[in-house]
Order: sequence, then C-alpha cells, then structure tokens
Amino acid sequence: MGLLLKKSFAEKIEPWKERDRTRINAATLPVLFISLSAPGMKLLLVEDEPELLASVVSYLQAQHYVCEVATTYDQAQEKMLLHDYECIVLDLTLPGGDGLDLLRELQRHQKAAGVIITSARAAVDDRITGLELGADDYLPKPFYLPELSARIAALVRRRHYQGTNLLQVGLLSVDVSARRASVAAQPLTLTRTEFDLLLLLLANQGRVITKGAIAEHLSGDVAEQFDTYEKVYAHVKNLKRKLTEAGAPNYIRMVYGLGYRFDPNPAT
Amino acid sequence: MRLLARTTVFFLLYASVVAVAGTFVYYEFIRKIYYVYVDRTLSRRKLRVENDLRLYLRTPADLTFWHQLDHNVEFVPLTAPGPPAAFSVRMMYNQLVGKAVPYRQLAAPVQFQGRPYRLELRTTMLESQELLARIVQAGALLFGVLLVGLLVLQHFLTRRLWAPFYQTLGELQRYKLDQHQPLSLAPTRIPEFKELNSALSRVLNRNQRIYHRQKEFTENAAHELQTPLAILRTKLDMLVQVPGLTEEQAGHIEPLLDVTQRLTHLSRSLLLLAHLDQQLFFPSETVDLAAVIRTQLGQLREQLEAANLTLVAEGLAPTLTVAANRSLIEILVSNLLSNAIRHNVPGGELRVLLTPDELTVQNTGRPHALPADQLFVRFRPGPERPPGSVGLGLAIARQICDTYGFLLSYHYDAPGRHSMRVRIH
Repeated sequence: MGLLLKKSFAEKIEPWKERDRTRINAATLPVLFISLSAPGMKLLLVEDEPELLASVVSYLQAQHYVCEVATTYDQAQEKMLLHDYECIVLDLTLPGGDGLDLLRELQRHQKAAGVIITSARAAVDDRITGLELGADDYLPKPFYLPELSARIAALVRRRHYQGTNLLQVGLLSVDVSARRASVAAQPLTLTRTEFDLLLLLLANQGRVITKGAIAEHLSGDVAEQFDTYEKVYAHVKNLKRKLTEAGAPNYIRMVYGLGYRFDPNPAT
Repeated sequence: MRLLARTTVFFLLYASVVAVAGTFVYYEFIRKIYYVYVDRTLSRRKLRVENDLRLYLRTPADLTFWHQLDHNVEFVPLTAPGPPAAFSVRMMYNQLVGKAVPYRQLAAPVQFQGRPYRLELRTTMLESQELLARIVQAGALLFGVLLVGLLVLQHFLTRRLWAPFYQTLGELQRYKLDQHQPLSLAPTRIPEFKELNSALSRVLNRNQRIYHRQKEFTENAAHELQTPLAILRTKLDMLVQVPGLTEEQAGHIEPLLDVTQRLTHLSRSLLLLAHLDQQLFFPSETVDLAAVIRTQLGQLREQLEAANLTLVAEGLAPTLTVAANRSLIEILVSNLLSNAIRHNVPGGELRVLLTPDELTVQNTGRPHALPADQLFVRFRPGPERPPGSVGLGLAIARQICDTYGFLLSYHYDAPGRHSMRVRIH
C-alpha cells in the first residue's frame, strides 16, 4: 500500500512525467505522506516553485523525512497552525503573502516548530528580521540539497537532544554537541573543518554530495569560490585517512570525480 | 572669485571711471554755467555803461575818474574802431589780496563823444573759483556717499536676492545620485530661480529615477536568477543520485555543476553589488580585522599549497578592530586574498601586512604594472582575467571599501610585485 501511494505521489510530484504542468495539489499530499510507513520527522516545505519543491521533497523523502508541502501563503498558514512540524522550510516570497508574516503568525500562536528560511531575497535585513522572528536558520537560494538536509538534521538535533546527542553509524560514533567522534571507542582527532565535513556526510548518508556542495559547506557562501576544489580534496583525504587509521571501513567514496558518498555499509 | 565679489569689482571699476571722468565733466559744466552767468552780468553792465556814457559822462577825465573809482571799468582810447565785443580771462593784480588773480573781462567797442574807445568790464574770478571748487567738492562728496551707499545696498541686496541660488548650490553639493529622498529645493519668489530649481529638480529626479530603476533592474535580474539556479542545482543534486550513473554521464554532469557554481557566484556577486550600491542597511558590529584575515588565510591554505605559494604574514597577531559588517569585511578580505592567489605565479609569494592604518596584500605576478584605473571596473575584460573569475571580486572590494570610507588602491611596488592597499582610517 505504502509503495503504491509512494508511486502515485511520485507521478504527481515529478512534473516531467506529467503532461499537464499544474501546480502540485498540495491539499491531497499530506494524507499520502502521513500514510507512508517511514518513521521520520514531519517537515513542512513551503515553496511556490513546483520544480524546486519536487526536488526537495524527493531528496528529503529519501532521507526518511515525512514531507508536507504548501505552495501558497494561505496553505502554509493553515497547515502550520493546524499541525505540528519538526521543521518548516520556508520560502519568503509566496503567492498571497510574505513569508516573514508567517513567522509572526507562528510566534503569535507559540508554535514550537524549527524554521529554516530559504529565500532568493538576499537582503541582509530579511535575514536579520527572519532570525529575530524566531527562524532558526537562513539558507539563501540557490542551495544544495545535501546542505539543506544537513541544516535540517542539525536543527532537529538541536531541538531534540540537548546535552547528549550521539550519532551511531556502523563503527563510527559521533557526539555532535561535544564535537567528538570515535571509531569503535577509539577517539578521532578531527579538525573543525573535518568534523563539519563528517556531519555533512552523515546527514546525507548514501547520497552523492557534489564537490561544490562540500566546498560551500566548508567555506560558507561569503568566500570567493575557486574553480579548483583543492580544499575539498585535502579535507576529504585527511578525514578518510583518519577514519581508516582508526580501523573504520572505507565509508567515504568518490563518485566519478563529481563528489563523495558516505556509505554506511561499504561492500568491502 | 565669487560671483558677488566679481560684480562688486566691476561695479567699483565702473564707478571709479565715472567718478574721475564725472568730476572733470561736472567741473567743466559748472564752470561753463558760471561763465555764462558772469558773462550775462558783464553784458548787462556794458548796457548800463553805454547808457551812462550817453547820459552822464561829459569829458574823458570822467572816464579816468570812473576807472579810479572802479578798477573793473576801464576805457582805452582807440585810434580806429576796435574789434567786436569779446570775453576773455586775464590775470591782473588785485590790491585786496595782493597778488595776480584771474579776471573775466568783456572788451567791447564804444563811442564816446564821437571817438572810439575800448570798454573793458571785469569781474574777479577769485571767489567764484573757490565757490566752484566747493561745489565740485560737494558734488564729489555726494557722489562718494552715493557710491558707498550703492555698494552696501548692492552687497546686502544681492546677498538676499541670491540666497536661493546659494541654497540650491548647497543642495547640489550635498546631492548624491544614490540617495533615496528626492532633491528638495527651497521655494523662492524670483522667477529665474524658480525656473532654475524646477529645471534642476526635474533633471535630477529623473536621473535618480533612472539610476534607481537600473539598480532595481540589476537586483531584480540577479534575484530572478536565484530560483532557476536553485532548480538547476537541486536537479543536478538529484541527477547525481541516480543509481547506475556511468562515468560518461558523470563526465557530462561535472561541467554543468561547475557552470552552475559559477552562475550562482556571479548572480550573488551582482546582488551584493546592487545592495552595496543602494546602500542597503548592513548592520555594523565590532570586527577584528586581524582575526578575519587569519581565518580567511586558514581557509585558503589548500589553495596556497596547490599553487605552491609562500605566505608571508606580518602584523596579524594583535587585534585590530573596525566597526563594520562582519560578512562584508570577510568578503573584502576573501576577495583580496583570492585575487592575490589567482594572479600569482607558481612558486610565488603572497604577502599580507597589517598595520593599524593599512592592510597590504602583495603578490608576485606579471612583470609589468597593471592599468590601475581598469582594475576595479565591473566585468573587467582583458587578458589579465584568469579563467573562472567572474571579474567582480575587486569591484566588490572597492564598493565595500567605499561603504566604510576605506581607500582601496593598487600599487606596482617592484618588478613583478603587485599590491592592493586598504587604508583603514
């Protein structure tokens, strides 16, 4: 049943399979998602651009999140007030209103959802107003999906596991709040950058993270970008070396020079 | 020379010419009038003398006697009838003042007892000359008072009348094309200034509108790019997840990723420039410049190693705080350092020198100076631009410096050594 629903969703959500390029009928989506058996955090994705929404939903869904979508201001308002979400990914420019007003609405109703603003509006005061209005993070468009996934993961962790926040993947265990990692109880000495890189990889297990995404994650979007990825290569190399030296299997694989994938169950 | 001073100078020049020439003309004029008056008096006296000659005088001794009584009447016997009556000025000894003084004289032919005489009637010009001098003096004084009064009047009047002009001038000097409020010029009743102000307002507000529209256009264009870019990026992110991706397919995807990255960087740079141009609000905080440089250098370590560059850093240990927006300062430092790495030569050197007043980023590079005026131009063309650079880094750096009143300049220090300097204070 779940599989069937998933398939019908995929047909709905992937417009290249759809002759008639209408907007996603968001009203029918929640039922579909809730009935998915995947045990996951419930997210609300507020975004008016169907293609973008399709990619985000598809990516996050594979990360075992339960995604509901809203494509207009009114839909978003209705959903965020009716239901409780772990995290709301909020676009600011919406048909029917300003995303910042939705934040005010959330504050007024004391809804305890984590909010990540994704906006094409890069104005600094938008960012500040957003964060002042209780948003937890601000991710300017265009963003990388692994980055969004990592931000959501970080937000969920922050909101749920105060103090102890342990990630266990195979032999690798990571204490996120203490910023410590170990392989089979043997502690790893990772630099700040290597730890950030590890978190990005862990938040996107089994997915290919492109070099660009890693570079932006490590440098931030203010840094002047080079066409070369020396930084990415160097840090991935160091992290891999430290993991294998501590006896971990070869978790991090390069994918045809495009990027890297963290495989929790490496074949060899 | 200011407008008012200039008019005053011309006014004074004209006034002094008129004063000098005027005094002579005035003097001559008064003298003429006076002579006419004196001559008329002399003519009347001549009529009376002719009358007396006919009625009361009998012998030539009477004539001599008359002259003795009145020195200003004299009869000179002639052998033949004299020339017609004529006026003249002559010097004669005056007993009262004891020296020769000018006299006005009327010499006219008369007949006395059938014999020709020349009658000379005189009147002294001594008092009249003094009077003339006094009149001219009084005239000059009047003229002087008039002149001074006019000057003072002109000074205050022009100052008052030109006040709207100077106000407009002040407004124009303060005017910036990128300011947000429209130009407001003080209202005036003088039609010329009214027209000037309205013409200026029209032109400037129009320029401002065009300028803002252009800025808005840049911002909107960059803004509108973000969503398609976001779709492109996320679709590529999805594409690389596809199971069974072949190496050939990956080879096609990789350049797409790079190009998307570059487009993103380009549109973000354009947005940032548009925001800097519009002087949007960038919240200020206390930023430790030295720490920012240290962090950015740390970020670029791999880049330095890859290009085999030697880093020489000085003055980064003490804190050096500036009041600015942290992101902007980070971008400024990052752009300068990246620039110095991009344009370096393999095995070259990157020098970063921070003093309390100045940040110098020096790199080894081409053995000739670069055109300083073109370096900070947006989308700078030319062979200097390395592949991968969007050509906005230095333009952004300059704009950030402008925002905070820093001075960014390029120097060709020594053969093959280029440096960018930021004067902080």
